[in-house]
Amino acid sequence: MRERRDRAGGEGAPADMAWSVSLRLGGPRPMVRRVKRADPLRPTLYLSRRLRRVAPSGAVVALVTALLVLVITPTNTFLETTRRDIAPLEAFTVVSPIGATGAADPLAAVSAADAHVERAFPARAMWVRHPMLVGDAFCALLLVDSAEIPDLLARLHLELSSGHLPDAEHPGVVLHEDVARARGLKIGDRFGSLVNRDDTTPGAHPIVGLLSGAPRIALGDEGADAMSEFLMPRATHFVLVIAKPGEKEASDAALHAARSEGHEAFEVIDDAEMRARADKALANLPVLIGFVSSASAAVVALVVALLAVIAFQGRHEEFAILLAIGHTPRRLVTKLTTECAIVTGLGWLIGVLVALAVLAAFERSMMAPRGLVMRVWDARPLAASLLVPVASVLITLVALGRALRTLDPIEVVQRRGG
Amino acid sequence: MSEPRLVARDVELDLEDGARTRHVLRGVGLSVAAGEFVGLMGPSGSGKSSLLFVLSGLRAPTKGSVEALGAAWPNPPARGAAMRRRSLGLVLQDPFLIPYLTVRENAEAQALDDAAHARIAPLAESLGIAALLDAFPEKLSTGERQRASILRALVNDPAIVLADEPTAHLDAASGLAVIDLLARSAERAALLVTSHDPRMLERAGRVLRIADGMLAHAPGPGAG
Repeated sequence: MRERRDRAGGEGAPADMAWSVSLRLGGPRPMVRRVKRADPLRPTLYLSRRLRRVAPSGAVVALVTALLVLVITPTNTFLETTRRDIAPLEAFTVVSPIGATGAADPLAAVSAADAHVERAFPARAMWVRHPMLVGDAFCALLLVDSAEIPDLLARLHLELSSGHLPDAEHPGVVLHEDVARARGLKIGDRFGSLVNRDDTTPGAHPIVGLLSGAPRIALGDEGADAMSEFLMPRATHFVLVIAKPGEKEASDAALHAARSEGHEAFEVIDDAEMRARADKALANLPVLIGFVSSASAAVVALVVALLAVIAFQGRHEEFAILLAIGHTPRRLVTKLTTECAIVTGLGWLIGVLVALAVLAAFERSMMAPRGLVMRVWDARPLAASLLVPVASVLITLVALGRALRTLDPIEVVQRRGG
Repeated sequence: MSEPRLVARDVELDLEDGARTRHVLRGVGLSVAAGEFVGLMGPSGSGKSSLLFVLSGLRAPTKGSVEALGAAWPNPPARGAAMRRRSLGLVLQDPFLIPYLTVRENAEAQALDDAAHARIAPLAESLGIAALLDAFPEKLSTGERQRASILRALVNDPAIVLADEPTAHLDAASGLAVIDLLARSAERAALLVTSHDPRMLERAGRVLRIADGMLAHAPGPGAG
């Protein structure tokens, strides 16, 4: 009888074993041309031919992913809007006396940082309130010598989008257009506590122009407006410090050092400090996001695993015969897990894309008109929502791994075959 | 006589059935050599299928041993998967074709190497299902499905072929045709076929009878 060369048997098949051992020991390989063939058990083949069966799992993941991204992303509005309001501090630093007495001269502190300072000049500062998602946000209103305003706008990369800059002939303020839109103000309108008792900005400030650009600020001419005699004593006297090009960090450090070396009566307000304050105020937000994500992921993972187990019940015979003809449980678990990973991964991707599209529309139609800044593309909700497919795959792996290990192919075969 | 490829020695199989233990196989011993066609006959519940599952390494015997190609089947049976895929062709009463795969892909699911893939077309030709290679199982008749399962079983040119009532769902003519195809296609293998119908085993060189889990030899029509 002819010996089979393509069969490696057990220990009692000498010819076959010799062939097998020669392979293991790196001996001469048989001349078999290797052709890359598509594996009929590849997960994508099953998924493409049984799309309707796997679609529910993908849909659940997509819906919950979209829900998570839609719920979590708008929470960045607090930070993004605040950052836009404090963005002007990237161009200058504010030194202020502690308290509003005006008894201390901030310029004394600035002199300590002379080596890094290009210019420093006095300003009166107030806040302009505008709505936040919950409560209020505030952008700065600086009253300075009108001659300083064009230079400040250039440093802040802001442009006059309409109206004109304040000067002796046009007393008033230029206001960022986002803030004006959020407050429902336009050129010619006035704002302030004298116009509206609920307004927190002291005085009455006519709007003479609108600004466009990323940082949000309002700039007015010190002493030029009609209410200056009333306003000036109530507005805190600050100094705006403009560092030499590339030396803002060193200038800020020198100002902070000066404060700790005897100028305790002053406060140094720079962008790093304000960002730190904003971050601290929102420090507990990740706790909420983490809880919502984890709870959602756990529930969805259980649902997906349940769907996978139900689907597995319908494929008992397939896996029974594959085990019977010599496929290992490990390979079949890998196949099932990969199928689950593809379905949940695609579901996640679809959920993210849908959520991003909805968020973009929401940002344009609802947030921007209210002066709220929302970052549509935010890594946090995407990372949080990744918990959904990852947990789904892990729980499915455990559930189906157990089901496959305990699957008795004989029982399945005999149940049907009799 | 060729070297035996499948040897069972004093095999016993006890199965738990609720509170009691059923003695399914008792002291079974047999040997099937390369190129030999052995039939196994017995009434329903006599232990034919149980013996076949023990011989295929899918179920470990309670006592005794089964050797395929000189090596004992590993216990637990899952550890013998690679050996089973390489050396064994299994044909069951129901074809158990994977429904979302074509006939060709069902065979490819068993195929181990390029030689096995190359064997699919000529084997399908000899089984009379060459035109159905790209068809899905739901489009096939019962007989065509059984032939497709034979194609899958033989694709690796296995040393041992075990068939459990492969003609149970077929009429006599179709059943004989399937047995004929199986015998011709696996003529170099150690072939063991179970059936309750003596006509299906007329081509067997030896026919063994099993009753109450015990074997009794009976000469087959082709026995010399």
